[in-house]
Amino acid sequence: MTDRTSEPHSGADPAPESPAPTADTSAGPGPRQELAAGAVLAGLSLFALFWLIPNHTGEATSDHEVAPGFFPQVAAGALLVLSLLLVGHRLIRFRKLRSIRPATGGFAVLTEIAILAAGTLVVAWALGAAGYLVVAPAMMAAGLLAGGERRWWAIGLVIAGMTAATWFGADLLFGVQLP
Amino acid sequence: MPHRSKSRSAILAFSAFMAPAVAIGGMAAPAVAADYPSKPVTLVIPYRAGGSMETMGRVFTKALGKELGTRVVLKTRPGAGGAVGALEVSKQKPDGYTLLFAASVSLLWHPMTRDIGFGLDSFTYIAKVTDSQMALIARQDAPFNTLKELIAHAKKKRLNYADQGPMPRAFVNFIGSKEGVSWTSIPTKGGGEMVPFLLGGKVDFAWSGGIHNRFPKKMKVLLSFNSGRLIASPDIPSMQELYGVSMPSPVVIVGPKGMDPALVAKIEAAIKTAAADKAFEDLVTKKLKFPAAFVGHKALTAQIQQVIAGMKRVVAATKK
Amino acid sequence: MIEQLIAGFGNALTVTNLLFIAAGITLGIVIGVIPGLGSVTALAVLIPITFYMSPLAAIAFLVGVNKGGTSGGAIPAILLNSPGTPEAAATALDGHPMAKRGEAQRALKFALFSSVTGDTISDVLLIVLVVPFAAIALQFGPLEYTAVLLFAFALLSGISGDSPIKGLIAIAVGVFLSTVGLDPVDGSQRMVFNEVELFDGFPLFSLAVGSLAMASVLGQLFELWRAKGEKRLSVEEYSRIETRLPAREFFGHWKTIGRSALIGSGVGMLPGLGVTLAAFLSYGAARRASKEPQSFGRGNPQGIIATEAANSAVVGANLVPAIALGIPGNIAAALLIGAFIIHGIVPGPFMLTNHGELIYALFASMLMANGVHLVIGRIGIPLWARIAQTPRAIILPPVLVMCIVGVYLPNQSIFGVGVMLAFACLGLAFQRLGFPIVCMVIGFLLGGMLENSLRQSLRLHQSDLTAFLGSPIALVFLALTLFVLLRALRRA
Repeated sequence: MTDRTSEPHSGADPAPESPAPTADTSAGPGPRQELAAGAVLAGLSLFALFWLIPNHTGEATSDHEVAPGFFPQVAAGALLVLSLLLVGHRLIRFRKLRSIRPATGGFAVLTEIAILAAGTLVVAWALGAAGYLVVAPAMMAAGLLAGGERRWWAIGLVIAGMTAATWFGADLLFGVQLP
Repeated sequence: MPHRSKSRSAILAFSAFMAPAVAIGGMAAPAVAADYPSKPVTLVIPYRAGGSMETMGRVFTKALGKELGTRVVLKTRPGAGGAVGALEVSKQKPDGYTLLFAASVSLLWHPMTRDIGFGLDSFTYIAKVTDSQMALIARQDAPFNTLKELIAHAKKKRLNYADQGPMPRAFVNFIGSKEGVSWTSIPTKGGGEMVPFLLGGKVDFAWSGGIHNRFPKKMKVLLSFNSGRLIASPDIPSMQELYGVSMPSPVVIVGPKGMDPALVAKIEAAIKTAAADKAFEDLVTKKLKFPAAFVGHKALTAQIQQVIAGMKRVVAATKK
Repeated sequence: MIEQLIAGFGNALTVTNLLFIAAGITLGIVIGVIPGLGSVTALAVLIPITFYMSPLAAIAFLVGVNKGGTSGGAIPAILLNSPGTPEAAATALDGHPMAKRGEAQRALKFALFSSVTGDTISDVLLIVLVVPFAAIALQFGPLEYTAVLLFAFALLSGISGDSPIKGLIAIAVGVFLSTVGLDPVDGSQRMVFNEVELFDGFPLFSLAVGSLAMASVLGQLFELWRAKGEKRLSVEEYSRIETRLPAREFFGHWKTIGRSALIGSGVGMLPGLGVTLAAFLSYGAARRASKEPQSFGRGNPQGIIATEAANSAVVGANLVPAIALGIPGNIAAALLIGAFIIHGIVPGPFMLTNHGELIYALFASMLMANGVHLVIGRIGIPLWARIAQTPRAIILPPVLVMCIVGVYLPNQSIFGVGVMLAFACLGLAFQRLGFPIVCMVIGFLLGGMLENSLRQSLRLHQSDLTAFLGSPIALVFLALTLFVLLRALRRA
């Protein structure tokens, strides 16, 4: 326990903000990413308004009643307006914003999401096909390696311990067999 | 370890796929019935934990396990008013190791009105353990005391009622269409939302799946939606008496279609004894105020066919 | 009533009972720590164990589970920024920044103390006001719920952080997602593509755990990956900077505590609104009342107080509709009602007259449970804080797996896990692009409720919107909504 906490370099960085592990405020996106996000959202809401909702919702059955599609339309409409506003605002103030908040990491977001989406598909498929006892250790191994952990005994310990704990815990405490 | 679980799920997937073929074959069936149960039985309850159905199922699981002499594993699989769990069970092998504990409503309404992945004939009805107590109810101080008075009232003024889904709405509107009145349905999510709306005077009357038994001094029953009268209000007529149709009230235990008759008989016998289990009977009759009404495979299957015929009439009459 | 309560204490104050309460709270906290599992799952799982207990012991145990399960969710939210429930997300907003600057233990203490205080206030209100409260709850129909929900939306738009437009976009996405599923009125399919598992819409727990907890953990893992282990991102060196939280400092925030407990109790007594709404209403109100609203979301302890006091206050108040009317205020209360029934107590208007002795013993147990909660929670804090001292690379991957287990357990649905994974992707994208994901989750939750109430109102009053004028309660809330919106506009 104690030897792990005194990793090299871990105490060397005195500023808590700079390596902030979450992206809540510090590592904000630049205006270019925001423009792209706004455009994508506007596109999606158009898609919802003109194809998804008309084709996949029922019709109003009586008077004094809004159609089932009404609420989705309101939400998608609001989304369209708001994302266009976002695009407009960021376009108008592009230069200024760019000087205050230069993009951090460019479009690394896309790489991350792509990796994640691929991982998601694999995990979802593997859970059904191979079961929890394959997926959980693999996920943890990937996570530990990505996190920079390189001590094999630690990796093995965490994987074995967690897999066993969740598997038997689910069975004993909840009476549920994990897939 | 990975290999084992991989092959196991492969077998599961394969068997789900092959279920109809096995059912038609049925050759090895007597042997299956003889050594049943040789492994834990899964009882699926397609409702969220906490409702009276789930409570009942939980206690029943224990009694059934005692009776079968094996571990009965309870699996809650809620969603779409019971359809998610029903769909899952309908796809299993009819070997008696996967059973479903559900209100028959969950098995009948969806396949009648939409394409849902299982049909009216997807299940083997093994036994009924009790009847839901479905009723048309009003506040105790409502200006009508019988269904007739309610209808007379509805002709003077448009009334609102709380339904708890499309099927109750269809049945209440069926009454309306027979009597030449129309009323407005207010969709509510379950009894928990209906009770305050009714007691708070937001709606004039309501459909109830049985929760009214908890409020004998605040609510009155106008009609039983069951095929027979309700145990708590034996003087109130049933819909079957007045209109010749009824809602599916049986609470049943079913398996996938194509179960071997010997196996069905064996499970039926176990259910019969389990349904008479003291803890279960105490819960059902004393605490939930449901009747103890065991009915076996043959009689139940006939009863369900009758209910289906009535439901088809209601669907046809209320469809626009 | 005082005598009855004293008699209740006489019945409830036994060693066995205290042990059951303690066991319940401990189990509740431990289960609540797992993302996706809260008091609801804890109760569902543990009710069968109570079959063999005496009614009072069983109910005392379950009350403990409910309290522990509700407060346990704050722990991963504060330490790892991986809230498992939407209401814990509100705790994470300020709790995690506090932990990052080395005040993990203080944040946990703030959470525990406010939880216990809020709970106690709500329990006392429950005991004193159970009868009149029930009468008020009956006044709430579709119109009133619609007005309350509109008010909630107005408050919500205020907590969306730095860029209001992004907050609104996130809310709109959430509302849109809430419309997937069978139509609440006529049961027709809406964007369901005939998928039975989608009939009830996206499962809330999958959506919340995926987009809140899992996305956050994945985000942190990606950060670690990018840092290539050279710069180890860990908070261990800061976690002991400040651990003390004197009682005087805590009670210095009495205004926030009181306001939040009242909001929580008010929301709790209305069936169906739930813990999350209470947490966010209270957070929004605290931010609004604060002289420096910008400090919220950056580690202002008042954010933790507001959330935790309110969501724990729901726990006690939720029993008001259960005891007075026999209807559950939320799923946790429904489970408790189920347990009552199993033990031969039929909840409803006659519970107080028929089982008065037991009910007052229950009230006494609830008050005792608060004391026990404080002790057990306090013992746990240094233990939990050790988690913050373990390197992130070790602690995060197991949390990922726990998310999967937590979502799978209650419904045993692989589909639910798939939805969670998809929302983890969406959540990470939102997070990276600076959209407040919490707003999406709350929009999702409230959107469905608002649509339901609004469409009920429309049918009930034949689309006549002047019906709102006939309801004083609705008018009050509509006026409040207008007030909040106008003030927000004037500030902007």
